[in-house]
Amino acid sequence: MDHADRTHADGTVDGLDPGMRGVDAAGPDVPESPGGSTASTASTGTAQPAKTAPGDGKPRRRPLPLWDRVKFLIMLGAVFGFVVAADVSGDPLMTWADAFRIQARKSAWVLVLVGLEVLHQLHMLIAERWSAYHVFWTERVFGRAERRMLRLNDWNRYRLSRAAKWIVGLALALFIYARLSHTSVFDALVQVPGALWDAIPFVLQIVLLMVLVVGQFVVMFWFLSKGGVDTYFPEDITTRFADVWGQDHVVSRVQENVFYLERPEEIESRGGHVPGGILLWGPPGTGKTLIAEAVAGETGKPFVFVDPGAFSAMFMGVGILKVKSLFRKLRKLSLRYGGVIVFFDEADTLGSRGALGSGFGGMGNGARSWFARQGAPVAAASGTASGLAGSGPAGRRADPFGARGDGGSGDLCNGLSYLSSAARSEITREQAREQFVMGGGGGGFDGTLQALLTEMSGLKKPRGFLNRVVRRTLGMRPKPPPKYRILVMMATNMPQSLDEALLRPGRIDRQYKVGYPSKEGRIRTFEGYLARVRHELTPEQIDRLAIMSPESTGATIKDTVNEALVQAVKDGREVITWLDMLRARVIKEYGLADDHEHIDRERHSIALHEACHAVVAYRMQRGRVIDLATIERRGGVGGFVAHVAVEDRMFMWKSEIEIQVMVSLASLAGERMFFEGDNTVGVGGDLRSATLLVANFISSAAMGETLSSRLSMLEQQMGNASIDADRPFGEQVEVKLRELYERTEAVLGVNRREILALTHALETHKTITGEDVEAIMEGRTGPTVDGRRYHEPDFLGVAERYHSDAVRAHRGQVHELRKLPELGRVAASSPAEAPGPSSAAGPPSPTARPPAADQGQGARRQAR
Amino acid sequence: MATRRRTTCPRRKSLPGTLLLLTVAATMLLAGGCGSPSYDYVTNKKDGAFLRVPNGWNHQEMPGPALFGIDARNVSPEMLQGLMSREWVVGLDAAQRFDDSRLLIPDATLPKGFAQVRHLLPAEANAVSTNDLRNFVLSVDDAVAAQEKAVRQDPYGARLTPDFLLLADEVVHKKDGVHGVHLVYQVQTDAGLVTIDQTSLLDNGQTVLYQLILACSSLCYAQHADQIGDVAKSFTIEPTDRGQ
Repeated sequence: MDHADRTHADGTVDGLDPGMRGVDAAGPDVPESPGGSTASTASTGTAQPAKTAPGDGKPRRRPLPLWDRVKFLIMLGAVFGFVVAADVSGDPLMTWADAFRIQARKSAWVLVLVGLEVLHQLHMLIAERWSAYHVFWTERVFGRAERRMLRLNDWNRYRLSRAAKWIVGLALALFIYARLSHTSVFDALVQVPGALWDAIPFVLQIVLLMVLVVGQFVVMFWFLSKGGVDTYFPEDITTRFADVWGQDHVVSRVQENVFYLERPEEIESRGGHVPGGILLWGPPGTGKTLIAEAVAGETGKPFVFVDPGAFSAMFMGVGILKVKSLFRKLRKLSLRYGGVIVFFDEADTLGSRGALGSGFGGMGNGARSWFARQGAPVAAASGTASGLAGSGPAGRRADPFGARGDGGSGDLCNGLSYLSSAARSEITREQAREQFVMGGGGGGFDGTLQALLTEMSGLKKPRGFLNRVVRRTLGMRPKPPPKYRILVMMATNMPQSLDEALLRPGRIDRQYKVGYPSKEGRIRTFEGYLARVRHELTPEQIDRLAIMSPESTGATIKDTVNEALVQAVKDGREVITWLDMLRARVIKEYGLADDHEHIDRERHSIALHEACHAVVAYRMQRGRVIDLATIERRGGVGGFVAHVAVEDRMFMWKSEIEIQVMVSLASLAGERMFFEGDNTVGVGGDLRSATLLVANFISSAAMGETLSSRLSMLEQQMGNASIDADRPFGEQVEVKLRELYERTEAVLGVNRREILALTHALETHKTITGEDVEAIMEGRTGPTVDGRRYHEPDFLGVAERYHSDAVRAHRGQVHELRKLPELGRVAASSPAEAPGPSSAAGPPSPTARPPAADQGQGARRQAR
Repeated sequence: MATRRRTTCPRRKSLPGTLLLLTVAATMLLAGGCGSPSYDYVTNKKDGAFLRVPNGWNHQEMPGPALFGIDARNVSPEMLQGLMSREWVVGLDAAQRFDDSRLLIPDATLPKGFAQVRHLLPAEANAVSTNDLRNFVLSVDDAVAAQEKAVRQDPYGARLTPDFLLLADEVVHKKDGVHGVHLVYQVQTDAGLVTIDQTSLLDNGQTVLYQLILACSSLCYAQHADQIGDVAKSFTIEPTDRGQ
């Protein structure tokens, strides 16, 4: 039924004849009865004949426009005319009449089609004018056939349709073949087998050509899919678990997995299953690869090492082939040796499927959220990327060169080192929100990761052509696949880059954090590396080194020992001394100081700036001590105060956050206090840290006057429903900052002597240890500085006079700052022990942890 | 200002037009189905040779060369291949069933023969002359000479039962420089008297030979002379580039 929507002959502009609307409304299966139609006609009057009445309610076919009615006739007529004309043209003897007659026979099919179309149009014409005829065909004939067809189920209908299509297609092909071979269809049918037989060589040629073309690609991709995978056997590797120092808990866990791999019956007989995957994650250099090597050396199974770049391929699809090839190899090795271990180093190269980009800090997005739930240092890892001196692996190394050496506005003056790890996490999380919009590592988007996921725990399908096809053909069930015991090990320092699906149970069942080694491990590591060189360190000193370096790894310890050796050789010695170790530690922890001398005025202001931080930190902080204070320039950093945490705590209190903010604000408060309300731009970084801390904790941890978690509201896109209609959020932050600023001022005010004392010590020695700071504050003797002198009655006067000169010089009243006053007794330590200005670092507090750097003043210098 | 309302003019019913077209179509069908052509057309558009034979005559393209005028003993397989690509032969037979075993049968009771187009080999093209066209089936000039000699020896006997009688001998000139001869002659054979109607033509460049040969017994010829004459007359040549 043609439902074309167009204006039709009786003037109605919708797509249906008025009569047809009734039919459609009633549905095709409920035709209007002829009796009803008659009654309807009678009731509507007899002014118009029933066949032309548009509104008589009888169902009729909608009249076709003339063009629709004749277009096929015209087309077929044109085709016939063409073949007749083709006969006449070029043949001087042929007459039109004869050509017509000849083509009427040769191209009779056209005339047959014309005849069918004529019949069709006659049928349509009658149906348009005779309702009963129309109803008969639509309901009795076609409707019945349709209903009968609908009785078949869908599958049978599909099969019938498919068979019909095949038959029609083959018949058409046969017809064409018959015409081409100038025979009848039946003769052609008989000839088909012979023709097919004759065509075999040609078909084989085509097949060969295709095989050659496809074969080129197969061979090319086969070659490309090789490489990047090495197999080792136990005798190839000499590393043992005993060589992994300080990671006993991880090693024992890994040993457990290897045990089950080697003796699967221990767990399988009890209804369990062998864990299939281990992820070792943690900061760089903590021994993840070493553990894997030890596994390779200890286990009796083959160990397959996958190169990190193995899945990076030029062509799309090669990665997938490599994964498939790898797992084919693993299955083979597993069957042959009863198990196999595969190790993916730097597994973050496998990438993710975009979870990282969309969900940092959000809920349920990627491995990042998993690690967030597990308490992994997500922000710490991101701090690495952001260049901030964050906590954990990033914060350990206060990279004075990487932070803000670009002459910025001093964002990182003093960095974040005086903040606790939680406070730093908050701030770096803000950074990460901005910076981790894109990312996710390489790969993962070309199907490699998906292929890996499928191979790791895909469909447990029967394998092999014989198994699947031949056995099924013979009516046998295919054999299920054997148990492939494959232990997948992965190592990464960016677990958040991994796809969440990779880490689900069944793939990577177990995630072990390979953190910093334990103290015993560090001692053992120090001893191990020191045993390779000549040294005169006592066990107590080694113990102290281990205490000082809680976040040291095997790699950093090795590096530190090596640096100590370099220092010794530089001094013409072959034996490493305690002093060499201290120098090496400073160089490795904080980098080499530049050979730069501050001008006097600047030296004083920088020293004062750092002294204010140090005094407030010393007076207020709990659980953290100062490790080092320096005004020596390192790269773009003019000076810093480094702190270490005495204890590793999980939560911070509001009061502690406030102290962190006060430590940040100390530089501003101190500069204004000592320089008559003036301050440098170097406080910018401190203010940034303070503001972020206050804002974050007000918005998430009720640090201010409100309880609502503004952070959650923002995360849930409810920023407009925020609570600051009558109390602007910025105002709250400002109020809090100002309150803390006043408290900081109060602390500084009562510690004026200590500030000036520390300033003097820093100006004198450039670098002092935490114990020196403590000695100055308490009036004791420190490792390099005698703090008692600073508590003598005349010191304050001397210091104030010197500071007054500095202020006058700052005002421009004098051009030359007077010489830094000598205090008579400089240092308690002997000259031999006193480290030079560039390497001053005495043994810090025994409870000290390595500091997170406080990169101070550098940006301020640059801003000037 | 009066608002002009656009109204949709109801279209006229298309019944008359539809019926007219359907009638035309039906007529076409009837005309096509009922009539049969007056003639059968033998056509070689590639070489420009056309022929019209009475409806009912059989004609069939022959798979191999007719080898008229060529000594078959000297034809190598390569040459045969070349000839096949250079020669087009259609057998003609007025009998109900086409006998493709021989194209010329002396005692045929119904006209039989063939039409051929042959692209001459360069040597042939250089050697051929209009006079040679006369002697492609048999050497007409020799036969005429022999008949004259026989008349001289036995004037009555030879005239009453001639071995060879040339009924028509005309030179043909058609358009585009096509030229040749049209001969009708009667020959005494073992099977009796045979009449042959031979049209041999060359194109202007004398590179393509067009021939129409029809033969049957003399009695047959007497009965079908008009048909044979019509066929010979319809033999039309329109040389194409292929022949050059």
